[in-house]
Amino acid sequence: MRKLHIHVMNYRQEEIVYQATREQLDDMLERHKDVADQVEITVSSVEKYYPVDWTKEDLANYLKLAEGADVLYGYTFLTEGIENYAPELKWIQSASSGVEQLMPFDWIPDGVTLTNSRGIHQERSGESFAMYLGMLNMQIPRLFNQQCKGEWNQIFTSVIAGKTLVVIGVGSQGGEMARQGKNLGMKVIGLDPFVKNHPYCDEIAPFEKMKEILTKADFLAICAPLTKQTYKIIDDEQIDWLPNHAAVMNVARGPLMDENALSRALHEGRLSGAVLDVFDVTPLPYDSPLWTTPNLFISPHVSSDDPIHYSPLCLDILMRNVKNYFAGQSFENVVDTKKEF
Amino acid sequence: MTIPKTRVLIEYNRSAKPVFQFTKKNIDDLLARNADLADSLHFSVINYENNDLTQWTEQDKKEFYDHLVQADVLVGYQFPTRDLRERAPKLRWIHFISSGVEHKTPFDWVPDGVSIINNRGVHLPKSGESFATFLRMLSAGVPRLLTAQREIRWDRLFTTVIKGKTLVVLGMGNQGSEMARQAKNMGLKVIGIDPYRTSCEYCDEMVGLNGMKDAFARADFLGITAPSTPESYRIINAEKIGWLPRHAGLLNVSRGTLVDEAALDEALRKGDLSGAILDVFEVEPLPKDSPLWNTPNLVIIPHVSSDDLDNYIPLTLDLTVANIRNEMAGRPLKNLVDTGKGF
Repeated sequence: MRKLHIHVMNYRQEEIVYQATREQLDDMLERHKDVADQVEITVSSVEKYYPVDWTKEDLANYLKLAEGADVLYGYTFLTEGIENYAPELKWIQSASSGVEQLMPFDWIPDGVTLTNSRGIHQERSGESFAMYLGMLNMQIPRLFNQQCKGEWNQIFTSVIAGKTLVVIGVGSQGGEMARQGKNLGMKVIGLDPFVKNHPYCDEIAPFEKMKEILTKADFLAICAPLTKQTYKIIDDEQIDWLPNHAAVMNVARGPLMDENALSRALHEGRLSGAVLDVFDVTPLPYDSPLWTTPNLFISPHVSSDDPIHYSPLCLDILMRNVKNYFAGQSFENVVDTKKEF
Repeated sequence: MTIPKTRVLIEYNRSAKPVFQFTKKNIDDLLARNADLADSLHFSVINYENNDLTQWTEQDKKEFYDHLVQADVLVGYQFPTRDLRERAPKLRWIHFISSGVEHKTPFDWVPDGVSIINNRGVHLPKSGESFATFLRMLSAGVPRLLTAQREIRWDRLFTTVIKGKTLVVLGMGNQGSEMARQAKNMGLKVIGIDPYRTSCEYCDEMVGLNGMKDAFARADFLGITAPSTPESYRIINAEKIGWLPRHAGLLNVSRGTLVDEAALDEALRKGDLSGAILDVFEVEPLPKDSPLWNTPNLVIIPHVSSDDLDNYIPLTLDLTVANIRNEMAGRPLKNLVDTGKGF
C-alpha cells in the first residue's frame, strides 16, 4: 500500500524552537506508532519565507522531495504550480496559529484543506498572560522606567481580584486569557463577532459594542486573529475609550493595534502601562519609537512558544489528522478560508 | 452594667505614602463592619512627623503621650518607648502595622503584661499575587528581557513552562507559606527551609538550615521570606549564591539585610544566576549611587509587593478588632511576637 507522504519544511533563519528536528520527528513517530509505518516523511529546508528567501538549490531540493506529497507541513510554501508538483495534496498544516502569511488563499487548490496549529500554545501562553496581568497590575513597566532612571518611587497597587479584563477575540488564545483572568478573580468581558458565550467570560459583546465595553476595562487584551476586519482594530479612538488607569496587552499580531497610537497614549500618560509581545515589524527595528516609549514592556514575541514543547505539539496535531484521514473522519483545526482563521 | 470601652490609640506617619495612613473613613467603615462592638470601642487617631524619632515635634510627643495614658491598645509603627509603663499604665498590647518588627528590637523596653502583635498575614492577598507574578517573571527570563529592552536589544529568549520546576523557600512563616502555596498552584515542586518549622502544607520537602546546600543545588528559584534577625543577617552571601545552579533565579521579598547585595550584584554581572527580583534592600530607599540600579538581569521593585493600596489599612484594623474579640472571649491573641526570637 502506498504510504501517506508528508513533507515537512524547516526555515533555517527561524529560531530553533520552530524547527521540526529529526529527533522530534522520530519521537513523533514513536508517540504515534500505530500509524508510523503508514506514513513516509520527507524534510527540506529553506532560508526563510517564500518567495523572497528561497535559493535555486533550496527550491530544487524542495521540488524533488515534496513531489507527490499528500500533506505539507510548514509556515510558507511554494504557491505557484502547487497543483502540478503536489497533485495528490490533501491538506496543508501551518505550523503556526495565525495563517495570515498564507493569505490570500486563492492558491490553495480546490479540495485541499488548510489546518493550523491553534490550541497548542495555551499552557505556555497562559502562564505569560497571567504574568502580564500581574505585571501590569503592579505597574512593573512603570517601575522598570524608574529603575532605568535610578529613581525610587513607591507605587502601591491593590489586588487584581475584582478588576475587569476585556478580551478582544475569544478564540484559543483569548479563551486562555479569559481563563487566566477568571483564575485571578477578575471579571472578564469578551468582544467577539462570532463567539456568543464562553465558560470563562462573564459576558461577550459584538464589536459594535466596543466603545461601551472599553470604558469598563481595567485591562485590555488583544487576542484576535489578524484579518481585514481586525486590522488596526485598536487605534487612537479606541484607546481614548479606555479609562486613564487601564493597561493594554497585545499578544496576537502587531497590526491589530496602531503602535504609534499606543506610543502617543503612553507618552501622554493616558494609560497606566502596556505589554507588547507582537509588533508591526519583527525584530523590532532599532529606531522604533517603541523602545523609548514609557511604561511599556517589550516582550520579543516569546509569550506562547515553548522551546521544548512547541514543535512536538504541532506535530501531534499533524498526526492526529493523519489518523482522522485514515479513519475517514473530519480534521481538527480546519481554517475557514472565508473567515481567514 | 456598662462595659468599659476598649480605647485604641492609632498613630501613623503623616509623611508616609497614603497606603499606610489611617483615615476617618477607615474607622467609620471598621465600626460599620463591627456594629455589635461599636459601643465598646473608642478609637483615637493621631499622626507624627516621621519614622525618625529625632524629627518628632514637641506637639507630636505631647499628643502621643496625652493619648497613650488612656490607651488599652496601641496600633502603630514607630514611637518613643522610654518609661512606657508609667506613660501607658493601661496598655495591654501593641499592634505593629508591619510584619517585621526588627526596628524595635531588642524588646527589653516592653513592660511586663504588654504583648507585642505584628501584622503578619495581613499582606497575603496582595503578596501572594506578587509572588506568583515574580516567579513567572523569573521563569520567563523577564529580568533579562528588561535588561535587553534597556539596551535596545531584541533578545528572543524562549522559555518553557514553569510547571515542574523547583522552588526553594527560605523561611516558612506566613509569607513563605504563601509563596509555597502560589508555587504549588502553578505546579512547582517546593522545598522549604526553616530552622524551627518541620512541616508545611504546601511543601514537598522541609529541611533545616543544615539542608540548605543540598536544597540550593536543586533550586530553579530561591525565594527569600525569612525574618530579619541577627542570625539571618546577610545569610545569602557569595558562598550560598555559589550553591545555586547558574540557571537559577533569586527573589527577595522579606528584608534587604538577608542578602549580601554586593555578592548578588557580582553573581549577576558574571552570569552566575539567570536573574533576580528584589523588593527589599539593605538601605531603603535604595541610594542613588547603589550599583544595583545598573546590575544586569535584576528587577528592582521599590518595596511595594505586599502592601495593598486599598486594603492594607482595613485588613490591619480587622486584625486589631479580631484581637479585641479574642481578648473578650478569653482566647489567645493572634500574631503574638516572640519577643525573645524577635518575630
